[in-house]
Amino acid sequence: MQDIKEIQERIYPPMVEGEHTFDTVTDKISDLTLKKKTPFHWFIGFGIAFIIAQILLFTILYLVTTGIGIWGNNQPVGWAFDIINFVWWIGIGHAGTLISAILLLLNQKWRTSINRFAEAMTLFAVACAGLFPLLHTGRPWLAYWLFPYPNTMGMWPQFRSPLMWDVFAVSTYATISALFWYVGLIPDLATLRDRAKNKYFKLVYGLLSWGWRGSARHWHRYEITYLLLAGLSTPLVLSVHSIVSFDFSVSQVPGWHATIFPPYFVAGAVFAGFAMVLILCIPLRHVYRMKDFITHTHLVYMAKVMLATGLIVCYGYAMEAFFAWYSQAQYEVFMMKNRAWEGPYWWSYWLLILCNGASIQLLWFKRFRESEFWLFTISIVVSIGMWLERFVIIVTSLHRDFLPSSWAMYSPTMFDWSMFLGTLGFFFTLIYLFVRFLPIISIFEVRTLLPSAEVEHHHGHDGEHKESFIEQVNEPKGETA
Amino acid sequence: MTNLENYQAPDEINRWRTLALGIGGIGLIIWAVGCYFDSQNALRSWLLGFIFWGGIGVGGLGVLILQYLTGGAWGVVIRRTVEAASRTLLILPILFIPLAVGVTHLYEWTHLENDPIIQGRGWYLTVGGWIARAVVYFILWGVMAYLLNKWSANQDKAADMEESAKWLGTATAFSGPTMVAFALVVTFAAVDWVMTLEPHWFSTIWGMLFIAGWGLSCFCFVVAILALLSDKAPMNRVLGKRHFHDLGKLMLALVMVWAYFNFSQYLIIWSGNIPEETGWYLTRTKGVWGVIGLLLILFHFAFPFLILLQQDFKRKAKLLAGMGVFILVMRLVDMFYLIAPSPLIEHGGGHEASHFSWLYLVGPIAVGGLWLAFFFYQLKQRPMVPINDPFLENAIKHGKGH
Repeated sequence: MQDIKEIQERIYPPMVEGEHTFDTVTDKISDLTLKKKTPFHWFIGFGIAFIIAQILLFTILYLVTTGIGIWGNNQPVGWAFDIINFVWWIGIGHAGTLISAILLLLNQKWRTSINRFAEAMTLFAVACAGLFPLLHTGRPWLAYWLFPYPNTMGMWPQFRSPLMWDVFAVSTYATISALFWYVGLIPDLATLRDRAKNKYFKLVYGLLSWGWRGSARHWHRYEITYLLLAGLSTPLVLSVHSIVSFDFSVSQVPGWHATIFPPYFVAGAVFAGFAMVLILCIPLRHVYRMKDFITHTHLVYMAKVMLATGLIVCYGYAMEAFFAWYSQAQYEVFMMKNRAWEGPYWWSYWLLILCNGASIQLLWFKRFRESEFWLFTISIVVSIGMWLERFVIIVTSLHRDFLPSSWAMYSPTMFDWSMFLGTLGFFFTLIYLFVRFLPIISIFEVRTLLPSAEVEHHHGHDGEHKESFIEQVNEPKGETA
Repeated sequence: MTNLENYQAPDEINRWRTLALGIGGIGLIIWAVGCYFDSQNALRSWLLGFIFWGGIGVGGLGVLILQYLTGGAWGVVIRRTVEAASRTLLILPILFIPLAVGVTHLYEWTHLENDPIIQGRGWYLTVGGWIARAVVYFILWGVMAYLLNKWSANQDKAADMEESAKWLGTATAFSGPTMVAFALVVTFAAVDWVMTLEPHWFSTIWGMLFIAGWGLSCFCFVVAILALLSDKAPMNRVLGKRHFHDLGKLMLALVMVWAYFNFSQYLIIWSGNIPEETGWYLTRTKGVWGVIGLLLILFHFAFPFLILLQQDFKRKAKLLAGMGVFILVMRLVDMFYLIAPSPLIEHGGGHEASHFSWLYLVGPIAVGGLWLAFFFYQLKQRPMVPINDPFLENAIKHGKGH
């Protein structure tokens, strides 16, 4: 039987490497926030991100005082960087919920050590995304007009518009993701509270952990809440990006109006999200020596998810091209030609195919899938590709629509770029703060992955016994330092 | 290594095979008579049967590939059943013959030589191109099914676990790229066989609708078959509540995916409201077709969705199998809804309700009987589980939990 176990572990390697006990796991992760001196490179990285974030503040200031005319948007390209960046950020935000909710429901154990920062990434990405439509209104202080409330103007938002649905979908998504992340943090915040030496840290973590004592009842409630939140988040993974895709596809614009848009956008979102998770976690596991928890196997699994979702996206490109030809509809055929070779933006289409289509084919090969260098590079390329995808869809479809007399070119201004760059700075600022002040990996969940957490059951089921299982592993005994 | 005899399929399967063959034979005769009087409706009903039953076989191949990629206990216990379903792809070309012969009675585009759109599609939408592509689809599906089935059989003959794991590894590695090819073949087959019934219409989500729909058909069918076998040796030693629970979750997921794809397609076409596309739904939302559309929303989505949400329901094999059969019936209605309202050639492209013909019942019964007979014959050929699979024991244990 040893023989079988060995074969099984070769196919599904254990998710925690090295010799670890419950204590070493707790120490290793919580020491990052509590004991270790903040490393110098943290200040450098945070400093750079923070400075770039100031560019965002400056752009917003100038935008609000001047108007959105500072952007390159024109007629007919009335939507450009603002919506491109919105969709790009929202897409990145999808990996978090997929990892935390769907993989949880599917009993995928490898989610455990990457869910915490993937969820944090989701929240920060959604925060960046939200800025763009908000500022595109030109008068962000009137943004509450977007919500349907009885008002003296006697006006209601247009409920038939997917932009309206976006308001609901994105705000729901942000709320549920935040709740999910926070609920998952509570047991770890209590651990930090118990271990903190600094009075103020103790107080803040104490307040945030809501008197968590790790009693059986607490764990029971926790498990139910977490599972319910996972159930609630699962449809959100699909709904948000489906609605984002409706922003385009319910219109008649060739290149936007395609029935495949909802699933293809969702796949693209998860694709971009996993690329961003890889971009973050490859340096993280090195710098903070987390290789035992974010193992090689994690990276390979993420690479496979990236390949699978990337291929769905490529399938979408193929279907768009095939049906443009198959339809023999004048505008569809023109759209495809204009996109790929006749139009002035043809390069963006082929760059997109190169970034999203060609580059991921490397992931078929073990050599590339198992090399951190290549994974990191491909993830960067994919992030660029997914940005280009939205550029291609939005700008090349709009700049030449039905009437040649209304065609025009689009080019972004300095402020389009500074706003995008600024959100990147804002995003990484938040990531740096998160890494410094909160446990980047879920301490109590990683403990359940250890071999010593394996409790012999009389019959081999693990799903239902999870409550008692987690309880046993996370008994408060010997926990408080 | 494990004793082969222990997992031999029960002898009842032979009886079911004979029964199915009898029904199929009678159906075939009635269909042939119907064909003599009303060739167009008879051919369409054959197409309906072909798309529905053949779809289970194609879905079987898809699920076989999928379970190698995802792993999991459910995949190990259903593998031999979906393998048998995938081997029915061997007789698909034979079942396709009536369609190939009667193509000019089935598809309006074969008579639209002067139509600019059909002309624009060039050789692609000619009888020759259409049949040539079908041959390519059958060859590709055949190769995929043949190789995966061969490696799985090699596992049974393996001398030790190491060798068995090697074949499992081969099948898994093959399944990655094969999934891509599979998805493309299904897409183009679905376009050729069903979408071209409406010569001008197109929808980019079409392929995904069939990939998910045929996958759903396969899961429902497998659950029904396994529930039948679950209290007989050898499957009574293998299957447990949790296997059905897992399969029930997959059914639920695919019911939702089916609804999601269809809703997306409807919403986008409805709101775009452009003449190239909207005609397809105009026909299908009026009169009797509209009622069928409504029935699909209620009974292909809402009802199974609400029932399958319940945990206890999914754990009871017989109840879940009942739902599986119910969804299969709705799958047939769904296929009918796609096929039947398409323009009839003899009526100059009209969309009258006269498309309801008693023949629509005969095609699915005839094809179904023959298909099932072949399926049962194939199911009997091999042990009911991959006996040397390194994960078999875990998979069986997984099911016995509660």
